[in-house]
Amino acid sequence: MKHIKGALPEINFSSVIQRYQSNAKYMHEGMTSSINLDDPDVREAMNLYIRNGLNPTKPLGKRHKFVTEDGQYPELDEAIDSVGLADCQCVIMSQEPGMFNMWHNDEYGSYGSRDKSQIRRVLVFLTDYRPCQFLQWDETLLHNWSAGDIICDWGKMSHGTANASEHTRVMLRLTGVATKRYNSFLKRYSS
Amino acid sequence: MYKYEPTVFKDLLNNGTYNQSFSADIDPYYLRTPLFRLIGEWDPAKIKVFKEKKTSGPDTIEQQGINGLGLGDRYVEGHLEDSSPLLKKITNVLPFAKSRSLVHIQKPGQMHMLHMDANYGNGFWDYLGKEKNKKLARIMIMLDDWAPGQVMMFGGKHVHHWKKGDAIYFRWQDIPHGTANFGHTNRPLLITTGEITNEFNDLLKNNTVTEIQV
Repeated sequence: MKHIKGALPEINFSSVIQRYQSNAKYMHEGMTSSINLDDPDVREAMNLYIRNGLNPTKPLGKRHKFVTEDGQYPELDEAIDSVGLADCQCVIMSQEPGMFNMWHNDEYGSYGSRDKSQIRRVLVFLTDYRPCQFLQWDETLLHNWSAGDIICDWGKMSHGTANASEHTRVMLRLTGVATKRYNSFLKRYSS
Repeated sequence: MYKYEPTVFKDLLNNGTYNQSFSADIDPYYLRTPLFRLIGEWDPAKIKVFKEKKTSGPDTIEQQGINGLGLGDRYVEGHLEDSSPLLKKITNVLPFAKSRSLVHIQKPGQMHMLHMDANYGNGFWDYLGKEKNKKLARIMIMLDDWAPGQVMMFGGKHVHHWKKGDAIYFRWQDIPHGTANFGHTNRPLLITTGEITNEFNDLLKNNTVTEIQV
């Protein structure tokens, strides 16, 4: 997993968040088309919640899906393009205080039976870190991120999050197919 | 965008001596992870709360009441005497003159929001007089090994990868803290407040982790 500081600093964060607020809805991904229950890995992820006495349909936070260059978030178009993922799914996600996402592996269920080996996910922080916003990837607890930092390249690494702070945490999640441009984007920060 | 800053949290924070930097580097005066380690054969799977404690003071309720959360979203809580008897063996060896313990079993999906501890005890410590806050220390005794998705924060420091028996000391009067369990297993601990003894002060002065047999 890479935490790249200052990767996308040019975004007008306050403008994006202001617009997001009016679009955001509490939503579990399973309540949209993005969970493929034909996939045994996805079913196992849902079972995780059930086994622990939790409701798997409880929202993990608020969401707003959009398509790049659809005019909803023009401030993000250039940044998304610079990351270079093909067939990119764009979601702004917020984790409100008290929300959590159980320890899990990404299954990319919305990609159905397509080859998932080249699918990559990038998270762009749209808000600064606040104490008690917990993000754990494998053995690493992240902290002190700033808006414009990204995390990426975590492969099959398990991860989970919780927000025990007083403030909402907002991210842009990009999921798409790796391209040469994407690999060049990462290489720029690999030193 | 949700933002809630309870007044009581700010007041308690301002009453303490912590510099509010929330830096990951924290003076060991405020936090020791662990201060000492208890060695024993207890089975974490057998730790149960038989009768839940449902009450807490208004300061606690206000700080936990963020975004619709309540006390039951923190953990399952019980008094020592309402929990597994094996825990008594642990509290008997603690370096306190007198102690009061609560069991906290944080289940997957539960979290205790960033908060400051208010002194509690419902009169239990009143015999210590007005200076009681200076005479009491608080530790968290981890009753099982750490598992992924279990995390605590003290000041700006994340605490994780603890071992069963670790006694985490923190200056409850000064340090803001919060916890979450987004893992797959319960996280049981014993939170003990005790009257400080010379033995306890010696542990604070000692830079190594002392092992205490249960």
